[in-house]
Amino acid sequence: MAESPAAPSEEEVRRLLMVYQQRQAEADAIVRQLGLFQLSLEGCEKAIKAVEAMETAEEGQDMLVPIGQDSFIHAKLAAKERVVVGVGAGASIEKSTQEAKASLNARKAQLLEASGKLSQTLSKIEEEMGKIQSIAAQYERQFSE
Amino acid sequence: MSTELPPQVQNQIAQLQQLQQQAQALLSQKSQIEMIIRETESAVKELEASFEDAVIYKSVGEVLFKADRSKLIEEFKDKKEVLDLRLKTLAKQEERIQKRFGQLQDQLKTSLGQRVPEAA
Repeated sequence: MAESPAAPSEEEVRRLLMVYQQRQAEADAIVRQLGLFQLSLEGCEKAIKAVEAMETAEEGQDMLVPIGQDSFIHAKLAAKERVVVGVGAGASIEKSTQEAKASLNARKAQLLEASGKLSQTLSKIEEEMGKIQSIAAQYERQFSE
Repeated sequence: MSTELPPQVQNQIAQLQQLQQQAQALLSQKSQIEMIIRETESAVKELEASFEDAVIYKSVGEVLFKADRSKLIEEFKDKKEVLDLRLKTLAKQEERIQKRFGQLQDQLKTSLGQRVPEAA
C-alpha cells in the first residue's frame, strides 16, 4: 500500500512562509524600481523630442518654458544649437544638439537594458513564488485530509 | 501551561528587534551613499570626457550657475573621497551590529532551548 507523503513540520511551513514573504518584498521593490525606470525613460523620450524640435526651430523663436504645475513663462530661443544636459550630481554640460541627442539616446539604452534585466529578475522571483504557492496548496490539502 | 515568555527572553527579543531596525536604517543609509557615489563617479567621467573649454553648469537649488570644469571635477573627487570614508564607517557599524545580532540570537536560542523542557 502506498504511503501518503509525510505532513510538513510547523517549522517547514513557517520557513516557506518566510521565504514567500521575502520574495514578495523583493518583487514589490523591483516593481517600484521598474516604475521609476519607466518615468526616466519617458523623461528621456520627451527630452529627445524637444532636442529634435530645436533642429527645426528658429533662433529668436517665441517659446513657453515650463516652470512646474502646468505653468509657463514666455521666452525666446537664444541658442538653438546648444543644449544643456545634466550628467548627475548637479553638474550639467552644454552640448551641441547632436551630442545632446546621442547622450540622451545612450541614457535611454542604458535604462532599457537595466529595465530588461530587472524584469527578468522579477519573472524569476514570480516563478519561485508560484512554486511556493503550489507547495503551500499541497500542504493545505495534506492538512485537510 | 503559561505561554508568556520570561522577562529575560522578552528583553532579548526586544533587543533583537531594535538591532534589526538599526541594521535596516544603516542599510538604507549605505545604499543611499552608494547611489550618490555612483552618480558622482559617473558625473566625473562625463566631465573628464568633455572638452576642456566645454561650458559647464552646476545646480544650486533650481538654478544653474556656470562653473569651472576642472574645479568641479576636483570638487566631485573630494566629495567622493568623503563619501567613501563615510561608507567605510557605516560598513564597520554594520559589521558590529551583525556580530551583536548573532550573539543575541545565540543567547535567545539558548534561553528558548532551556525553556522547552520546562514547558514539556
